Amino acid sequence: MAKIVGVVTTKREYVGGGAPIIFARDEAHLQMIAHLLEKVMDCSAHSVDEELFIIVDHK
Amino acid sequence: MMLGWLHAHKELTAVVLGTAFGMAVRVTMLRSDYRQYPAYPHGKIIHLSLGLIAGALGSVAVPALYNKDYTAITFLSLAAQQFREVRNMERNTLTAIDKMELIPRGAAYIEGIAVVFEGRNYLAILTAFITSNFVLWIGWWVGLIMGLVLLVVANYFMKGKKISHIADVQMAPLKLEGPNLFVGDVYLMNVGLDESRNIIMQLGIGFILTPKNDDAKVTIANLGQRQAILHDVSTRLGVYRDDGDPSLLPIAKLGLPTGKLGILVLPREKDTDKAYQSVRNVPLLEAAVRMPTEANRKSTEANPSG
Repeated sequence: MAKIVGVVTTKREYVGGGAPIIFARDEAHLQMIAHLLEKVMDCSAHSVDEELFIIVDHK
Repeated sequence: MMLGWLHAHKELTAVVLGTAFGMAVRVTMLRSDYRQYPAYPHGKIIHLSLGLIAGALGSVAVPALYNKDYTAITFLSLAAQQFREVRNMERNTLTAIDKMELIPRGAAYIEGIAVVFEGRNYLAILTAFITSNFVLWIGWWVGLIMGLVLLVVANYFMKGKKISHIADVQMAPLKLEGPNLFVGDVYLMNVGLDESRNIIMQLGIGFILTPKNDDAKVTIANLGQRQAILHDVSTRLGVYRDDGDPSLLPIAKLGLPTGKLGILVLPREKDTDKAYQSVRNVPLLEAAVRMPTEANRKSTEANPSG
């Protein structure tokens, strides 16, 4: 089963809970962090909407 | 003089002709094509030697049987044991290599390849057996003709079907709706990063496979068959992907309402014609072919309703 290994967002009130959460300054910053996490963790970045990304381990 | 000699040494002629044709069958079926297997010289030598052994076993059994040496048939079972080992060897090698592939072949494809390798050896034995039989029964020239006929027949039988036999392949445009990637009307995946979206839209080629009948629907839905398509296309055109780039993933997804298969490939070389041809030419895997319509027809015939 796939596992959420991280959450990246620009809206603090959107998120909470178990996975590591990273707050981005704006959408460009959010893309940058998601990009970094994708490469480093070898996990896919999926966009829930423009302001909320989840990093998912599909293996 | 020469012909007289051939008549006088019937058994030797039978064994030599049988072995030669058994070997010839194996040689003509040894493919070094885009799958690159067994393209390396050592792989070839293994299979050619086994082909020679198969031919020899098949042809030697016949004179023994003619001399009422019936235990000779156990020889053939020994051969069968050997060739099952061939299948194991192929399976193990390919499974080991598969872990290092950017787009793996998948277990179903590997099993298919392994079965084919085993089957080709049996065809070599059978050809040798029949050729040798005819030489002893009628004469060397009949053996020669039968050998040639079997050579053609064996190759015909080992051809196998392709995707183009069961499905219409069409190129289809890729489109992004927000992060969601579609090919035609089939949903593929959610791509988060702008960078990956751009690469996919630039380099990706989309295909829609429409099954030609209900049996075909089941076959292209098989995960092993889908993986085989992705692997073959990636082998022929290269793949724009690396370890650690999980979003650049050639993927095949089923459009559930229609049973169509949507495919995204990311070739290194964007040649749509070649990509189209390679999708059409992917072999149908034995493990994936199902005939549900035939099975259902038979079961209703056996148990009339009411």
